Amino acid sequence: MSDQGSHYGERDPTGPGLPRLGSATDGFDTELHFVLTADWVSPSLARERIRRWLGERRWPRLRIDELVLAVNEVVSNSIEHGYGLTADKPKPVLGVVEVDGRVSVGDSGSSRAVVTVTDHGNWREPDPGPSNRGRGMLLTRACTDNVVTEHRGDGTTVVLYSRPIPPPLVE
Amino acid sequence: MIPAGDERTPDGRAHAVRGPSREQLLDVAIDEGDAALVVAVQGELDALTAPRLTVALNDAFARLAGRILVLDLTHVGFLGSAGLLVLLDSARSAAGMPGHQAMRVVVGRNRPVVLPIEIVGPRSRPGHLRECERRHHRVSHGHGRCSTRSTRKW
Repeated sequence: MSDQGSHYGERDPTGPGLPRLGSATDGFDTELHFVLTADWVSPSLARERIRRWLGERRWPRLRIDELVLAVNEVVSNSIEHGYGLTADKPKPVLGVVEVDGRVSVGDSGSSRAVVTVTDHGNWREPDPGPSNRGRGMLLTRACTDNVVTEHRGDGTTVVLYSRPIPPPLVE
Repeated sequence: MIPAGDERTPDGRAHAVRGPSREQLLDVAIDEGDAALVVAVQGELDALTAPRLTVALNDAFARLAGRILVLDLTHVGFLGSAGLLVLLDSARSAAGMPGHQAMRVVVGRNRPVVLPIEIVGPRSRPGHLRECERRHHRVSHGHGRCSTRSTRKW
């Protein structure tokens, strides 16, 4: 059993010396962590951070666009359904949405991003009938390989697994 | 004049064209022509900015007077479910108006916009599947310029 702690990389995603794609050993590097307030500005901040994080790793643009869209939908869902802010009825709430990202490199050298979105809001089952929430989940699933949702007593955690990208041709 | 096409830098992180300010995130401009009313959107369409597009489209519908409504999303850098909802609601509004003509949505090859539309379009509006096929449509601009762009009807 490997010691994952020995593979932990830089905490600052904007800093120099980031592990280059394909240079990491098997396992996970904890590479991205940020906390957002439950506010409608927050999805744009999350998108910017994810785009910068993977852009610095020179990920294919399609893969970046997919993950940016998926993270946007999950963060928006936490704000709207976890904390109860709707676009037409914004109200101040005290709450945060935490986002963690890491790049996992498999045995074949291909990489995938794993992004965890955690809120501490009160999960509510979606209302029956047409809802934009279903559309958000459809986008999220279509843009990722796998989505794992865990409803805890004190909130919800969603883990997004991106589609894999192949190893770089040149180290 | 903003050049048409794909303005993203090779690293895919930023737009080479001048966009809306960071605080604003979204700019909406209405260009009135004889045959069409063009609503040109620049920036990011999410839950924060989508209500502003709704207001702009409602205003455009009120002034349509038999003209075609063209929604130009060529310079939109992000489109999420909240923005899609505005497009679908507006397409429904257009369909319910007397003498209605389908709203044209111009997307070009702008992937951040094409990607979510491709995912939900056929499923959300199965009856409009054929209408969603790309076709070339000449969009008239205010300065007598014309450009050929790929559009889709909703």
